[in-house]
Amino acid sequence: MTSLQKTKRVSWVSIILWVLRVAVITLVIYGSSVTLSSGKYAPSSWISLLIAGLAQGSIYALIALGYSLVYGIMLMINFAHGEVYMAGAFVSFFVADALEQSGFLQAQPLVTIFILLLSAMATSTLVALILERVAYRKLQNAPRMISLITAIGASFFLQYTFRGFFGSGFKAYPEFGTMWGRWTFGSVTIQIVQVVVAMAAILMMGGLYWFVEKTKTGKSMRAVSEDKEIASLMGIDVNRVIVITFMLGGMLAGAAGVFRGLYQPQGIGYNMGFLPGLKAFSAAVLGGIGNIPGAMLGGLFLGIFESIGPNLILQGLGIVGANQLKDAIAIVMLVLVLIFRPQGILGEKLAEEKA
Amino acid sequence: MNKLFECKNLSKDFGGLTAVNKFSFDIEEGEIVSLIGPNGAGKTTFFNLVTGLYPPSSGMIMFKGEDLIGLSPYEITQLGIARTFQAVRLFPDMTILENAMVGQHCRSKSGVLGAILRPRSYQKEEERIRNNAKEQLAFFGSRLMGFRLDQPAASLSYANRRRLEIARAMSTEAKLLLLDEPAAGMNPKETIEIAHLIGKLRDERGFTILVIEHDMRVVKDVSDRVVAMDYGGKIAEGTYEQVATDEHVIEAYLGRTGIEEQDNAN
Amino acid sequence: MTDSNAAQMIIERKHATRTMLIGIYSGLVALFICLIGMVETFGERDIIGGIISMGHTMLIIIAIGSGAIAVKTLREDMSTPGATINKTSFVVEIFVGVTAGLIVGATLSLFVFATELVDMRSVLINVSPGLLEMLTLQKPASQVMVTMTVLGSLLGGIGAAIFNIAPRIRLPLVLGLTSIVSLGMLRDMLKIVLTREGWPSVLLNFLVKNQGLSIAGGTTIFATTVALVIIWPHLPVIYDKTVRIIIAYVPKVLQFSVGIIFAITLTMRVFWFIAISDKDLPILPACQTADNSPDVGLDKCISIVSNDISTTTDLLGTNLATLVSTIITVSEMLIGTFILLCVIFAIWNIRQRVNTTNIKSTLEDPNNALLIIAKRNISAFFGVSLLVSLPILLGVFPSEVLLNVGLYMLMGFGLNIVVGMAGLLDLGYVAFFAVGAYSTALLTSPRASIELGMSFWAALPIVVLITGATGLLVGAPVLRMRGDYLAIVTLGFGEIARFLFLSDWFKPWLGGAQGIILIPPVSIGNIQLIGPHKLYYLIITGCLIALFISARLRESRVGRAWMAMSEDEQVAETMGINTVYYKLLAFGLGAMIASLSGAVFAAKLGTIFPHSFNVLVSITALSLLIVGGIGSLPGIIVGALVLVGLPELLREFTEYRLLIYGAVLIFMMLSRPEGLIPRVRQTRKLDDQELNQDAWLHDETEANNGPSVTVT
Repeated sequence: MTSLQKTKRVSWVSIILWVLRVAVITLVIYGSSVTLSSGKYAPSSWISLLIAGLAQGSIYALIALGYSLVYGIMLMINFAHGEVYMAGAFVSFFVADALEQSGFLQAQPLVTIFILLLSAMATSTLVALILERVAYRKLQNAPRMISLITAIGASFFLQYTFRGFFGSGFKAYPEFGTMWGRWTFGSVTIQIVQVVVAMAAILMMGGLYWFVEKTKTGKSMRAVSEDKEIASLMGIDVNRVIVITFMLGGMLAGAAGVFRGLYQPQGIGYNMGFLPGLKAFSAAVLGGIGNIPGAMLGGLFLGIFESIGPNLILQGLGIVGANQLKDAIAIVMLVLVLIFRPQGILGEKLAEEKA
Repeated sequence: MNKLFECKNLSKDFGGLTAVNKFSFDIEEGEIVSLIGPNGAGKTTFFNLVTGLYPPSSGMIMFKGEDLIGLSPYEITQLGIARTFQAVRLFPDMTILENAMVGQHCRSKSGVLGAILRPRSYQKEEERIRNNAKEQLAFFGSRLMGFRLDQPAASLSYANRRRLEIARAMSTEAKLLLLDEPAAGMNPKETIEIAHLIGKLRDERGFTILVIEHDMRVVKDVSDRVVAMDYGGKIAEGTYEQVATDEHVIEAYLGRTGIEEQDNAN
Repeated sequence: MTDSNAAQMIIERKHATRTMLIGIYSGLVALFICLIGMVETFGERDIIGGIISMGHTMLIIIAIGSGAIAVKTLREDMSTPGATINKTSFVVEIFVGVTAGLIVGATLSLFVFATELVDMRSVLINVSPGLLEMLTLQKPASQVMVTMTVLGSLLGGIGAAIFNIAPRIRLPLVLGLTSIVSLGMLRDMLKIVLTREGWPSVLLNFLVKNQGLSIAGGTTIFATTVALVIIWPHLPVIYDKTVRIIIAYVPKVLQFSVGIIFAITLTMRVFWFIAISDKDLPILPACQTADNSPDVGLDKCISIVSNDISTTTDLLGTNLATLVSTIITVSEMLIGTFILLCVIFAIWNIRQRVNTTNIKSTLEDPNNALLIIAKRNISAFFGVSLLVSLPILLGVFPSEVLLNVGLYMLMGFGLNIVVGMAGLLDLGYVAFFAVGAYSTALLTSPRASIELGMSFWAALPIVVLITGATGLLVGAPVLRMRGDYLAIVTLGFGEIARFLFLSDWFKPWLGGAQGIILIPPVSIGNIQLIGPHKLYYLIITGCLIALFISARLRESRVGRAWMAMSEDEQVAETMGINTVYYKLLAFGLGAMIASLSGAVFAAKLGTIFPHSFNVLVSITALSLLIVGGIGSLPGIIVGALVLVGLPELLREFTEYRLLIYGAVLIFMMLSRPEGLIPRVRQTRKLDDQELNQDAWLHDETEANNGPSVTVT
């Protein structure tokens, strides 16, 4: 009996998964084809949406990097990272407000942005470090569930602390006159601020990538993320690496806060970090959590998809008020990624026990 | 002839690494077979394939004439294969009795409504589960009985945890027991005892047993047949004496130099 | 001798640093609660009327606490092996306490000083004149700085001194002060309860003085607590003796009669309360529209009742009312008579010196079967009576609090099946609560899109089934996800549910942001359960059923499967447990219980909006589970009372509820992850016998690497 008899039994779980796959793909294709064939939007509007999505996506990417860095090192989901971002945005708002009132902002917009970035990054870094020291330091070897619940607690604690300090009303960033101009190429109009934000964010991510890949500290970070115990045996101060990781995450999140204020001045408030945090986490998972280029790609992809998706797919499916469901897209995507490719787009690196 | 268990050309790849490579092998009812081989030979992976934790890359596994491939681990257990783990994996916060009672899960039926309303049939079944679990625990003498029944499993000593794990596997009323290094971490006296117990498991309880073991005294004492594995494949099979003196086996344990030299000579 | 004395007088540098750190941290905490506005908000609530406010009390407690903690750490430090000085003296401890307190006082006075220099209010909105007034007691900042620092050190010193009082005195003292503070905080509720008919008005006037407790009231409460603390250890003995005498000397017939008549009275009273007396008229429009989340602002309701809407409506005709009231009067008289009879019989029997062996056994044997049964019956009887009579005793507004506690408690029981038993961290539990509420609304409201207008009871089974199906739907895609991903994904599902309820897409069916209105109240026969004091009976029934189901499931084949799965999923699967099935079962059952809570919620409010169903509901349910202890059923009850009940009683808390939940979650996870009332399990400590068995292992591994023997 040499012939290999391969009788594959198919469990109903995998049948359901296949049905789900087919359904998702069909819906996406059907929806977009209906929209595209209806010709409701000109190609130029798609390009505008794309650029807007890129700007939004680069903000997500900056936050997602914080999730991914911490996850890579500590294997925990720092649920409070959205609040780190909120802290930066919030404090830089007060700085911007003061600078506007003194007239400095109008005189020196570029210097102002630089000051804002510094203040936001400093604040976010501070919050991230306090978080690490007070809440997470003790939990380095605790079960994941315990650290996750702590992080959730920290998230709400921070939200309501800021609400207590600064009030529950929403604030609006001052407007930077030049930034709100538009460039027009033929029929395509692009907001300058979107391009600036996207460029600056991508520059920062490049800087981070260089830091992690080329510097000595970056090397020890990678070593710790490979194996904490062995790294510490090799003489790497694990606690120091963790602190640096939180610092980096905090800085990026702070910068994201400023970019958010520039790009979308309205709605700076104590709970502004919750949804972006959730979405950025989805982006990190989408790219492959623990993977730096993955988080960047995931963030950008999510931003673009959020901007185009509702108009392209949901409208085509005949759903009323498709843009209201924009916020749900990230979560649906997170679920789909976790079902079909839990290691993410670029997540080959992580072994089974990690992902 | 009707084999209880057989697998043919079983293979498992992890990425590029082949953990089990065209492994073919069978067990007859009432046999005690030992699986030996150096670390990383693929013995535990083979157990994981048989119990359905990993899907095999190719090959087939038959048990009591049924194809196991594609079945979930719980379905395989229901068919009558139960196992223990190399690194003891009990339910540490459950009591010793509860641990053993979990084994009876696949031999009982009552569901949510039964649990809430507790009709006579539910009570009878619960009683049966409890008695069966106690019977398995009593197999190990007083060690797991008495006041210990209501202690959490985490409070047991290392050797007793191994015993409890075997008891839990026994209470699934399996036909075939897969024991992954049952003597690891036991002192010499306990090791002799466990070898004795494995024999008793077959003689008194009628289990067919496949055991992975590093301790050669145990292997020698218990095995009807020994199968040696290396690099995911079978390198020798036969009685203990045959296998222990097999040159491939000795090479597998002592190093590759011999084979390389041979290859060079050829 | 002199040497050691000298050594005791000084403390090491590290102790000094630590003391200062404790002082600084406490100072920061004090500053923190000032800056987030807690001190000012609570400043409006007096503990002792006109003398001390709750805001001040908080600061005082922090100052005292800093002293106490400083001394505690000092002692712990010194008791660790290797400490150069291992004994402190009273003077040193007081010094340490004073230092810590001084730093707290100095921090606050520096803050006051700083507010003089810079205007912080444009950024930190709570640095208001009101707060400063509270801190400085309306005196110029330069004058009070010294006073505040001195006061701080004084309080720190008191904290240190408390550590030096014998526990025999310390316990009653601390508990007495605590009870003054807690009753002072609950002054509003005290007032509402005591103004109800049936409570002597003298009590109210004696205890409460306009803003807070009266001085006499405070003293009385303190004295009562102290007395209680002293009597407490003897209570079980007294109880035991009494029960023994009753079962030994009072004839069985009499015991039963008293019980039965008591039960009749209680039933009739409750019936009267629900069906006939409608004096409290609980339809309070302001309560329903003020805030649609489960924590309805009590203050709004209070203002309405003071308008005294009292119309007595007789829903069931005069005859029945007369009958019931007659039964109540007669049975209450009978109880009196029968209790008197019991006493007479008991005395007569004791006088007769009836001394059979039977009686001797009931009087002395600790394991007497009769005694155990009697005790169980008595506690069950009192438990049920208390539960049933709470709304009658307390009235509408405290019942509102209890109702909300009940809603969350029910959710807690449901969530416990998912999180506590099956080990699946679900952060989107609000979705099931919402589906329960929405489907109830859809099926019962005549204004809903499908215009079914069913009755609550007809709709309930359908609601439960729909929500159970939703549970399966949510559970299916997350089956293979690892724990922390599952948590985030379920959180996302909770948010998606809210987006969908809000969206224009579903607006034709679910009403969008306007929600669904005109949900009819629950009715039993002719009796309509309107108002929290009547719905209380519904929710308490729900909670009891959920408790019963949870307790039964836990000790069953299903519960064992869940527990095995939550401890090691892979092994559970290899032991023959179909984990897919049991995960879905947990999701489905959990969802069903949440739907009950949602249904009552919808019937209670009469109107539902998507905004009531945000992530905060899930977080509250999770917090109460964690505070009580994951998997512990009494823990859920305590958790709900503490985390939902307390903030409802103190309306100032509402603002800081989530802040406190967050802090509580962090604190519990860091210091006590098993919860306040952990699920009862034997200690995980290895006993000696088992330890000895492992001893050789360690020797062996030290000697040569590992016990395994290979081919020789």
